[in-house]
Amino acid sequence: MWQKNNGKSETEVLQNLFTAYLTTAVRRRRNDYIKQAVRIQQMEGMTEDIPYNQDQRAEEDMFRGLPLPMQLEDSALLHALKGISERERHVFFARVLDERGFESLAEEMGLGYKGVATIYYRALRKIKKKMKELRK
Amino acid sequence: MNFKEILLRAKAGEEPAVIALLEMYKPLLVKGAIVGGRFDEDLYQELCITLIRCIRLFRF
Repeated sequence: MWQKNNGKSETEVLQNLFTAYLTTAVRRRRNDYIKQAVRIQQMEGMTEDIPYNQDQRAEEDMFRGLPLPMQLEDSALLHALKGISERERHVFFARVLDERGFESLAEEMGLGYKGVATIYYRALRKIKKKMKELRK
Repeated sequence: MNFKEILLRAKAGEEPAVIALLEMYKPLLVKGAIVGGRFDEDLYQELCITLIRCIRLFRF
């Protein structure tokens, strides 16, 4: 269908220029896409590696029925939750405990999906950091 | 119809011309959409959008 382009006539030169232009654009978009995919994967990984502590199971029943902050038997977590801002705490609880999606939170708070996601992952990072500090 | 004509028509927003360019550059886009030896459909879509944007932005 398409003949080989030897770059002689005006239209062939033009086609070569356009192809070069497109090749660069495609390469950039591809790099951005891959970078983004890697970042998303890292974020997803972060939510999964909070270890579950089985030893505290027995105490769990005792704490049920208390107001939420007092239910947290783990003082490191309590300390960490105190250390993040009201907004971050709200997003964190809504997502983790009420299992609400970022979309509904974004609508409620008048933010974009990305904005809420950023707050959530920032809160998560802070909590993990503070918990690690305290355990040392 | 030579390439210049097709490009000008595509720039003017004529759909058949845009489709012709998409067909013409499909191998390039498919090649660009292969990540780690696997064809990434989402990326292919993104690259199709990139092509359409390039048609609009290309100056000569």
